[in-house]
Amino acid sequence: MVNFLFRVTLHFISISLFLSIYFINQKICFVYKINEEFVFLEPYASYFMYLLIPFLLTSIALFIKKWLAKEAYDSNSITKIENADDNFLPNYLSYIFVSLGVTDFISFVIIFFILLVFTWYLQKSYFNPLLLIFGYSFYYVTNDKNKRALFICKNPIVKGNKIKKIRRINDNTFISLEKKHG
Amino acid sequence: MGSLVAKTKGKKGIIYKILRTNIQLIQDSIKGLSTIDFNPSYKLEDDEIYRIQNFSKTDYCSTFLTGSFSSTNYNQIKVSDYEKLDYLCFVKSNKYCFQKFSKATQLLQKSFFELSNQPQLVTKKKIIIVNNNFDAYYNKSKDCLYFVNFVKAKSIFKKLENLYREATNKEVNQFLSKSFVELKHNYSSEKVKTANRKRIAIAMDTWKSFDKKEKIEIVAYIKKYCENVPCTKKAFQVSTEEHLKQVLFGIEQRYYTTLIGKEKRLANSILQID
Repeated sequence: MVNFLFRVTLHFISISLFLSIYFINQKICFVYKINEEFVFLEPYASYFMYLLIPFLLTSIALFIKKWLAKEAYDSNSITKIENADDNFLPNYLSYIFVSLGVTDFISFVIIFFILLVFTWYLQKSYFNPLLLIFGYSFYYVTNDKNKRALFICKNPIVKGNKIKKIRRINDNTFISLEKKHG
Repeated sequence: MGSLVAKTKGKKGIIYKILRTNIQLIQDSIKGLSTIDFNPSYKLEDDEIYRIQNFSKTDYCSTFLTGSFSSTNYNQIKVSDYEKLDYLCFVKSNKYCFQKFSKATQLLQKSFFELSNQPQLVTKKKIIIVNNNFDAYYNKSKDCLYFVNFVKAKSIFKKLENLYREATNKEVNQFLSKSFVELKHNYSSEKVKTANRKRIAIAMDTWKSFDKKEKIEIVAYIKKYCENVPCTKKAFQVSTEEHLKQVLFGIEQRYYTTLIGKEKRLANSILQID
């Protein structure tokens, strides 16, 4: 259950960038109700909020990560380490370009749902650019049993250095809860 | 912290990770037991345990035990996989404790409640029971496999069958080279299967207890009951497992004729009554 919630949250954060850019581009302001009246929030405040929501969701996801399934990893068995920080940049740029290209609301809704479904089924590595801002780095690590997995850690991965407090996000993605050294 | 993993049945069985825990789920202690190098003809005493040394260098070892252990190597188990489990393994500090999984006794759907002043009944929950004892225990730092029951160890490490084969070859060869046995159609000691190997072990002892006259009588007795086994004047022509089995049953005198009706029968098991 925790695992499912975590993945849904991370997934939504990825898509929320698409949403935020669309709303900002279309100059849609956040609306709320006070005493039976609909009030529009000031534009810049709205945009700020759109950008803030993914941050808040990421914080929530990071809060619940400690309840994910625990794992053990023998770092002496590492055969290959690849940094994956910029691997997904093309994906994110394409989200931005697509949302900038969408002009009417119907197209937006349809494309949004298509993206949602595609990325849920196709995404095997739970990459989220906001994690970079929180201090995490992404590494593709291969070991002597030929298993290649994405590790999300604050500390660089070095062969022989124990990776502590690993949690499983899915069968190919793992996150380390360890705080940054030094 | 240790990891509990499990393997599913069949040749295409995969190892899955189940969970990690601080509790020693399957006991790994062999304290107080004397270790004896495995030998099929030696029967263990109560305070003894078989061992196979340098296990990783033998052909019977599996790739699971070689190299390092990382629970991240294995996919997380799904609910549908529990039905197909072959064995469990608890790994902690380079010690692997294996337990053969029996669906009938370890995968249960019971109604239960905790001991409490206000018990809450839990129903319709399927549970897995993990027993305390190991069926096989591998200590990586000593590179030694320990087990009490060879059949259970063999069901976990399928290749151990070959160890049994090699260990009993001498006995099988001895039996097959006896004067009353003649091998035909390329039947040889390599082809003799486990069931017959076990019977040979017992039959050899029985045969040794006969004197010359009794040996001749037994051969005649086998000829009388085992009409399916072709024979010459001197020897039985054994070319299949079935032939060998019948000859071995004959040595054990399992064939008899009923008093009324003169029916020829084969006893399923023997109990001596005096």
